[in-house]
Amino acid sequence: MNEYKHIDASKFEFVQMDTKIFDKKFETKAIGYFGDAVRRFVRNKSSVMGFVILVLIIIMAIIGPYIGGHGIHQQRQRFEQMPAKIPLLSKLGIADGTRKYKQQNVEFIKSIDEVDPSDEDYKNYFFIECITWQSKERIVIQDNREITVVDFKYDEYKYRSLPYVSNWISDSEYQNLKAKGAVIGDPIKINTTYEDFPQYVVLVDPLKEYGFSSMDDFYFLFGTDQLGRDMWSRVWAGTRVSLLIGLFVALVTITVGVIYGSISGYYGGTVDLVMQRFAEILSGIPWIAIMTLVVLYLGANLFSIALALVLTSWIGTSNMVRSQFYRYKGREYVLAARTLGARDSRLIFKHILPNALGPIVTSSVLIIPSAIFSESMISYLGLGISKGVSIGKLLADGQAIGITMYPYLTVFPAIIISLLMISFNLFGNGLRDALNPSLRGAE
Amino acid sequence: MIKYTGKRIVLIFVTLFIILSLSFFLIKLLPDNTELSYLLNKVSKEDYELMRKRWGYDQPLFIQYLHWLKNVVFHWNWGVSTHTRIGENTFVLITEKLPITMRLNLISLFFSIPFGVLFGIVAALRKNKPIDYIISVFVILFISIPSFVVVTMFMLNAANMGLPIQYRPSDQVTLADMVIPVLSLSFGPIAVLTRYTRAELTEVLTSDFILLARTKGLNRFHSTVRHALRNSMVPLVPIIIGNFIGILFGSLVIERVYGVPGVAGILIESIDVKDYNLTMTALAFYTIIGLIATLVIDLTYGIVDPRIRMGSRK
Repeated sequence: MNEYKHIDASKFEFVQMDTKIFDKKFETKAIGYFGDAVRRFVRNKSSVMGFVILVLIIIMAIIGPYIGGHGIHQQRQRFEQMPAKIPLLSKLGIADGTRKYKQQNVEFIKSIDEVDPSDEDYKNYFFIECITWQSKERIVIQDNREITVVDFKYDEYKYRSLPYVSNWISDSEYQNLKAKGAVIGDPIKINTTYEDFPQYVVLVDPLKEYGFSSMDDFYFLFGTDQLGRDMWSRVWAGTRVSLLIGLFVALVTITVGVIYGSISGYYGGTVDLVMQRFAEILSGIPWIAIMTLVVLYLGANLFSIALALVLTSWIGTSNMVRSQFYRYKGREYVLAARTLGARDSRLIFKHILPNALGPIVTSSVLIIPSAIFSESMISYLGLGISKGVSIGKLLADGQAIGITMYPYLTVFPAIIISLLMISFNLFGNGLRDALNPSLRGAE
Repeated sequence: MIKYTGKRIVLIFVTLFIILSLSFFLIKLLPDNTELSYLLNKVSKEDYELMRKRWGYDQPLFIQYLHWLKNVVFHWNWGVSTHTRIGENTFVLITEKLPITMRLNLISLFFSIPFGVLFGIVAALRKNKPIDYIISVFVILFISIPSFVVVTMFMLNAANMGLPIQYRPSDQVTLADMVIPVLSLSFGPIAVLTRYTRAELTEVLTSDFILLARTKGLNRFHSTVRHALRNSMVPLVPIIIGNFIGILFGSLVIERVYGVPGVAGILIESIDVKDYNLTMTALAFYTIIGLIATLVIDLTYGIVDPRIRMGSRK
């Protein structure tokens, strides 16, 4: 210490003498809770990816049925069970509108003279003419009356676009076809006993009949179902319904869960005890029991399924909110507000509940995929909605029709629901990390 | 702990009683309750009246309920099947199908444990390395993709893999029939177990006593196997029981899709044909298992980690 005593005083100068010292103004912007959450969310690449996929699916669920497809409800007798044909992918051999037949017993072929069985392309030959009696499951080829087993595939779209003979159609039907320009050549008029009701035999161009201008235009992106309805439109309409179920369940769950949990957690004591026992008993019922009872009672519709899902799902939310209330209700700032005369409702909603906002947002995001999942599961069990479409219904229907023969009916809804689950989970996980204050600045 | 366990067990019985009573009334009060009317086509009018009388359907609902309750509690008699196999005790019907379901579920469970733990350990030891990222991608996929989608995809490719496309009748069942349902059922549990094992093990590996073990001179292998693994395995017990419940309920759908003649089929079929006694018994089966599992999970949390005091006051 002594050595410093001899330093000359002139070597020192005042930092400030007359001016006042102020805190420096922050040059950076203050980042609030949500600003910080967004910043941390964006940094998490997989969550952002999940979010983007999710937004894309939601957009498609809204506009998908109206673009690129052929309407949800129109039935096309001529174009039932069309395989998927996606123009860009068809060059790669995926979804190219062909149907494969494996190990078919073949007895009879109409155009056997035109085909050389020793030819390598034999199996890939365009085998339409061998389809007799409209029986597509059994291809019948006569090969000197010997039964041969062949694997082959053919272009379903080429086959279905061939003109076909329509017998005994009425005048109005004939005029209808003629207006569309679908009639090829002259019709044969059949004289019936009633002069006023003529019947016709016509050669019909199916493309024109259903409003396709050319072969290039003639494709169903996801194929068609057994009634000739466009699967592309149906899949997106089903996605919409599933998302709506999820959204509805999430909204009701959050509302009920937050209110129940708030009351239970805020008042505590006997109120809490009774409310917790009630919730405990309700949560003890397995969802399959609730689902069965609700469906038996209210029938299989969107409302009853959403209700059944809500009946148990709110308990998790209410437990979470309740524990938040237990943590915060004794804090000094709450006490201060109470001393200042704040009413219970103000304390609950203004002072304590915002603490639980992060977990509430996260859980509401994660409830949606679990509701969609449960709904699909119920559809698979045969208890699902009886009218309309949902992803689960489409999956179950495709399954019932037969997945080996018509895989595209199941594959596309399966892809959509998987993408939906993955993106919701990624998004929810990212949200959970971003909204968790304890992880703030941890990375 | 004992007091808490006792309380929980009493509560289970209360819950069970409430659920079963509620289900009984809700099912029997159904507006289109035609449980027996189809019998009229099969038997004569007199026989029909006799059957109604014998099964107590002629009495008021509340009396029926009391009879049913008495039979269940004192005689373990869950009522007769009125459609699936007329006159057979529904409990027998369930227990007949139970082995098929249980065999499938237990194989799935024991298949999922080693793989889940193994992947979790690998991911934890190679944290933030490529293999960890690969595993976490698969974890997200397996957790997200529903089991019924997995089973569908398997069935699509069953022929290529040389597996049966449907569960074959019981006299022809081999191990090959199990492959698809077991794999579909265990993907989810494997992912869940991997995720928890990784989280537990990373936490333990960074804890002080592992540091102590390393400073003592133990090499990485020994410190991991002797100290870290043991400590991280214990909290997995409740997860595994939770997985079992997941498998049990997931099996409802898988069995139906793959055509396995298990308990799931009974439940759905009984609803379709309005064999409501059987529906009740099947629901009771799932309720009881669900309740027991929740209790066991809660209790094991307390046992494996005494720091957690269940039901303690705040």
